[in-house]
Amino acid sequence: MIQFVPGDPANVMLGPRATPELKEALRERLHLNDAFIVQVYYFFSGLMQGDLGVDLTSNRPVLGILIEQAPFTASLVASTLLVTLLGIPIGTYAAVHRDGFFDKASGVVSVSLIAVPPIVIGLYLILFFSVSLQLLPAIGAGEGFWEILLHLVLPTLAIGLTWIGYVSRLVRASMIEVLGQNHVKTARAFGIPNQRILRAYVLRVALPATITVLGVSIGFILSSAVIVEIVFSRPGIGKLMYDAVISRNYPVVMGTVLASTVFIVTATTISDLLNVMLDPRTKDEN
Amino acid sequence: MAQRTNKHTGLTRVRNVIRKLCSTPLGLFSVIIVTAFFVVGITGDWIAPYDPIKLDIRAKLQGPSSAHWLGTDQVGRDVFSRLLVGTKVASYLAVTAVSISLAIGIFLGMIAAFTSRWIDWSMLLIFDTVRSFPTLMFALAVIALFGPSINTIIGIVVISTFPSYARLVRTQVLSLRSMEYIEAQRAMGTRLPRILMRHIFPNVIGPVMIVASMDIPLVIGVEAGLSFLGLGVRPPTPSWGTILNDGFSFIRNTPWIVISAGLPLILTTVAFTTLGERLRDILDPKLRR
Repeated sequence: MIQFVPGDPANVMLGPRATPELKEALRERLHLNDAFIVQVYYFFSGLMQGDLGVDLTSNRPVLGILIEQAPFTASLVASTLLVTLLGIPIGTYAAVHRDGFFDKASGVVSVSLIAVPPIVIGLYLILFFSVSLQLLPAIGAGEGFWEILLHLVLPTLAIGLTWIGYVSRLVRASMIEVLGQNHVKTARAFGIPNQRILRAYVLRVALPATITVLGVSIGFILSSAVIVEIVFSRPGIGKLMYDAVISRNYPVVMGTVLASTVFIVTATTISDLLNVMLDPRTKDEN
Repeated sequence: MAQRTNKHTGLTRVRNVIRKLCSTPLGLFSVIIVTAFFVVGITGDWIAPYDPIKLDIRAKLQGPSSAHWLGTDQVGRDVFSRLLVGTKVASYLAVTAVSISLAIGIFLGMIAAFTSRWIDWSMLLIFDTVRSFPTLMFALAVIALFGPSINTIIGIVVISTFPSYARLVRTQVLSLRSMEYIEAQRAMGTRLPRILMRHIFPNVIGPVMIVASMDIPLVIGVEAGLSFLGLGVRPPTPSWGTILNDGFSFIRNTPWIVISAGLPLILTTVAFTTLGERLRDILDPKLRR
């Protein structure tokens, strides 16, 4: 697709003052003079050999750049997923004390968190924690274990708050459903303590639902990661993609798209597998 | 669920729904904000106290005052006026993108439910593939190809939201299809388009509208995000995202620009989500989660 766009990558790379001979040599090297279908062939045969082409500006292999940037995004996504688990106790508490003050308040707050775009949450977090309180760093990724953790806090919250809200709503809903079922009522009638009922019967049912949602949500989390990486000037796949789009660095755009697709497919597969482990009923369906 | 609607009962039903909506504080809040959003979206140009793109360097980066309620930005433009006019972009986008997406989604969903299994399956496969890709990454890739403009954003929103409508409509139609009154119509020889328009469509439109109302925050968020990145609405046209971006550069010394550009985003997105939730509770208690 990228090949149909007006604008010659050779111009982008060499600048307006390059001689025609230089441009021609470059086009030859990038197979730009070949038919479209031949270019597609070169791209996929390169892909099979782990060759994603070269960065048009720095001339480095795209794969190397991706491997260099991936850990930043991966750590952001991982910490977001971890933070999201906070939604489980919130949802559980709200479900057990249904219609109480906490339930109603957390309901309103989580709906708001779900609705508000991560960019606004991110900017307000910067305003509050870095500009007013000057507690947390707002720029870059940091070096050294402690610094890296500190630099992860705000970006993680910017993406994660939405999903904490989502998960708490979801856990609450599925808990309320399970709490009303006969086997839980029977367990109550036998005098089994509330805590144990929650752990043994109810959470088991609520967890798979959460994991499924998180598996599906990886795409959205990655989406927010693009914005958040730019707002917080963090390196990562999202920032890389944005810079590549701005500078029309097509091989890098292709590489980042490919990388995020691989990431999403892996994440959904893992969540499916986890679900089968936690909930044997899903095994029969497949 | 499967009841026939005619014009009289249709109107009373709408009135009933609105009355129920306004009966709780949250519902009332969402109705007021959503109405205000569209009203300001239409009238923004006229009610703005200043010209939103007129530069006045001498008055740059002023704090909120009685002359400039929300202060001025780095080239002296009135932030309040820019926000009012910026509502136009958000509401235009919300209305056009979601309507186009709804039309495509409902059409394809009904087709998928009523055609052969193979077409159904291949449509589902396409819907799910499109849906699984992150909206913003997809948006960046598309913008790399076609360049930034408001039409590009509409296209992106349509492509990334219509599959969920189509899927929802398909499920609804599949359950309706085997209902007796539909089978009776078919047995009487009523043609398929007529069945779809007169009997299926009125029954699927409710649930789809609820999802659409909850998708509007997403649309507004995508526009704000892309405009913030400089890949959406082109300057000097004001939009909430570009105002956020203007403010972001001066966040340390003049935070009110970011604060005031964030507020309408928070209010409208929360209002639309609450509206969707309330509508769902009223129209379809079974869906309540």
